[in-house]
Amino acid sequence: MKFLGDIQLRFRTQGSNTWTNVSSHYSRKPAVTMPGTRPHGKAGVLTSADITGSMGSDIPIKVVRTWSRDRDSIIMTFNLTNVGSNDLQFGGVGIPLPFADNWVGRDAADTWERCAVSDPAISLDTGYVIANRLTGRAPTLITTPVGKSEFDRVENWQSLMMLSQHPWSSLD
Amino acid sequence: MRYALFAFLATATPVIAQDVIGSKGYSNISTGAFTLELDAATQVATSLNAMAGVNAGDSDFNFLLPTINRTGNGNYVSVAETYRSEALQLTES
Repeated sequence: MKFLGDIQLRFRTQGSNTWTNVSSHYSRKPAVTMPGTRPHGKAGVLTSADITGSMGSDIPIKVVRTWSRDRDSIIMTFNLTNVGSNDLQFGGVGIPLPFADNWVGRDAADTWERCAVSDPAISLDTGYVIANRLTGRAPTLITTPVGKSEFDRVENWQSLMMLSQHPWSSLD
Repeated sequence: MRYALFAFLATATPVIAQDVIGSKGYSNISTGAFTLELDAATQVATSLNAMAGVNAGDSDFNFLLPTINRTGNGNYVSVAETYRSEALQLTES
């Protein structure tokens, strides 16, 4: 099961024709907290950890996830480092955004009380995903890229219905 | 290389940031607008509560938890995700 904080990567070594798909939820391992970045160890940083162990064995990429705070917002950052001997080409980076939007099997009252609706805007660096509870209570949740580089974009949005499926399965 | 940045924004009454170890050994982080509950071992978010003052067990608490679905074909989870598909270059560190 995927949670907020997971990441999926599709990559290959330069010149290779074969893509490798990995995800931090395939074989979840305890995160290794980065020294000096424990909660409140740095300004704005809540906690930071090396999650490479959850990405599978023998991948040439080090993955560090950081949770930080900017005023009333929470920022999730992934730092990817090529620790191998070859250049890598990335074909995809996926970040699960799990909302309680599954209404199947619930009666009207349960759905009303527990579920949310989400709506993505696929518009690159101005993209976002907005979520609200059906009750209308509590604030609206907005998920958006932080940076302005070409890497900080909402380029696509896909609903994954099967546990074993990854977003690029149709490309294999 | 640093990318894939996402922020979670909402409007709520700010409270003093605090870190506590909640029930079940989870780490709860309150930022003002949110209480982010991280699994103690893996640090993935098991809950992201966008309404200050809501307690665990309240119906609104599980706002971001994926929900198990059950069909004749077995269980699956409804998860949506955002992803990018263009090629990136990551050179040797």
